[in-house]
Amino acid sequence: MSFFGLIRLFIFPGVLFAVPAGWFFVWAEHKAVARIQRRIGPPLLQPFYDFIKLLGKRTPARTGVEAVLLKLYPVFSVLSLAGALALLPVFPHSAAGFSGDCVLLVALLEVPSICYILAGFTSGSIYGQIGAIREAVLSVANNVVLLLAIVTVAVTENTFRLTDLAGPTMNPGHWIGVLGILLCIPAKLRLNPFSTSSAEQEIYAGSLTEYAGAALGLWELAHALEWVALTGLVATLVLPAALPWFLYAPAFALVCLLQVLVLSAIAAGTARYTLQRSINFYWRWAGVLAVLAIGSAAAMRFHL
Amino acid sequence: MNIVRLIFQNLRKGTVSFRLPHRHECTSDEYRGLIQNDASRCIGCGACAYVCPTAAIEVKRSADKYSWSYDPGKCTFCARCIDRCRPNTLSIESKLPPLYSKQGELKVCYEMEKKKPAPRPAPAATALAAAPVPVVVASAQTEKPVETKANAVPAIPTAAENPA
Repeated sequence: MSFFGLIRLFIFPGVLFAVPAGWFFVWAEHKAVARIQRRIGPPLLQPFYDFIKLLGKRTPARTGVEAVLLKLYPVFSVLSLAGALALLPVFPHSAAGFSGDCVLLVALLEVPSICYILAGFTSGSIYGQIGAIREAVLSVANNVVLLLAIVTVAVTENTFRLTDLAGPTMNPGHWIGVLGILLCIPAKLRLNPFSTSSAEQEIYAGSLTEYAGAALGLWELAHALEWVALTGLVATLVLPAALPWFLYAPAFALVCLLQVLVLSAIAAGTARYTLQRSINFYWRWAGVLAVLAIGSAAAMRFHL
Repeated sequence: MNIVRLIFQNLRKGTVSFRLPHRHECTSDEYRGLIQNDASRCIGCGACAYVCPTAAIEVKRSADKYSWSYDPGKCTFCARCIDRCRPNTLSIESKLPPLYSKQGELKVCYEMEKKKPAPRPAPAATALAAAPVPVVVASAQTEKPVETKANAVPAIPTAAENPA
C-alpha cells in the first residue's frame, strides 16, 4: 500500500478523522432535530459518552453460534465502512485508487445493510425479524436507484475509477447522478421518512432490539461511519478536485455537515412512510429519475 | 410548505427546554415532591412502609429504637404513605426535588426512641391492674378495620317487621 493509501486508511478520511467526524455528525443530527422541535438537544460529546458507556455494559449471555454471529455482524460493518472510507477519492490529485474501485466502494457500503438484515434474523426476536424484512425490502428498492445513480456518474466520465470521478463536471448526468445518491442516503441511514426498518415506536429498534453493550456500541459506531462515508461520497463528487489539501479537507467536512443538516431537517419535518409508500417512492420517482439520468448520460457519452 | 414554515418558525423562536441545573419553577400547589416526616410525632408504626409500592420507605425496629428511612430515588410519589399515616406526620412537598448525581444521595434516615403509647382513659382501673397493657408499637396489621359506609349495610327488614 502506498503512503497516501495508508494516510487515507488511518488518518483522512480514514479512522482518525472518520470516527470523531461520525460522532460529530450524529451529534449534529440530534442537535438539529432537537432545535427544530424546540429542544436544547444533547451536548457535543454525548455520542462519545454513549459509545464509552455501551462498551462498559455487561450483556446478557448468549450461547451457540448465534452469540458469535451477533458479535461479528457489527465488527464486519465497522471494518467494511473503514475500507469504504479509505477508498473515498479525497485528495484526488494524489493519484491513489485503482480501476474499478467504485464498484468495490458500492459493495462495501452495502455490507452494513446486509449485516443489519442478518442480525435481525439471527437475533430470534420478532421485532428483529420484522426490522430485517423491512430493511431487506427497502434495501432492494433503494439500491437499484443508488447503483443507477453511480453508474450514471461513471458513464459520464467513462470510468469506474473513483479518482477520475471526483470533482464536478459540466455534464448534467453527473449532477443528476449526485441527486440520485442524495435521495438514497435517508434510506441507507434509516432516517425519516424511510425509517421503517428501525421504527422505534412500532418495533423497538428493529434488527438491533436484542443488542446491548459493546456490540450495540459498535453498531452505533458503524452508523456514525456510515454518515461520513455516504455524505463523503457526495462531497467528493461535488468538490473541485484541484483544491489544495488545506482547503479541500475543511471544504470536505463542511459539505458533509451541510448534508447532515439538510437530511436532519427533512427527517424532523416528515413522518415515517409505510413500507409500501417507501418502495413506491424509490421504484416510481427516484427510479424514473435514475433511468432518465443514465439514459441522458449514455446519450451524451455515445453522442446520440 | 407548512412544515418548512414551521421549521423556520421553531428555529427562530428558540428552545423551550432547559439544560440542567436550570429548571422551571414549580407553579402548582398540588405538585408531588419529596415526602417529609415530622420525626417528633412519628410513632414508628410502619404503615407507610407497608403500603409503599416501591419500598422507598423502610422502617426497622429494634427493642427500644426504630429507624425510618426514605429513598426518593425509589419513590413514585404516589402519596399512599400519606393517606395511610394515622398520626399525620407525613407530608409531601409541593416543590421540585433537588438534583442529585449519586444513587441514594437524597436518602434520609431518622433513628428514634420508641414512644410509649398515650395513656388510655381508665374506665376500669381494677381490670387494668389485673392485666397491664403490654407496650406494643402500633402496626398496620394490628389496627382495627374502619367501619365504612360499605361495611355498614343496613339490616333487611323481615317480612314480619314489614308486612306490606
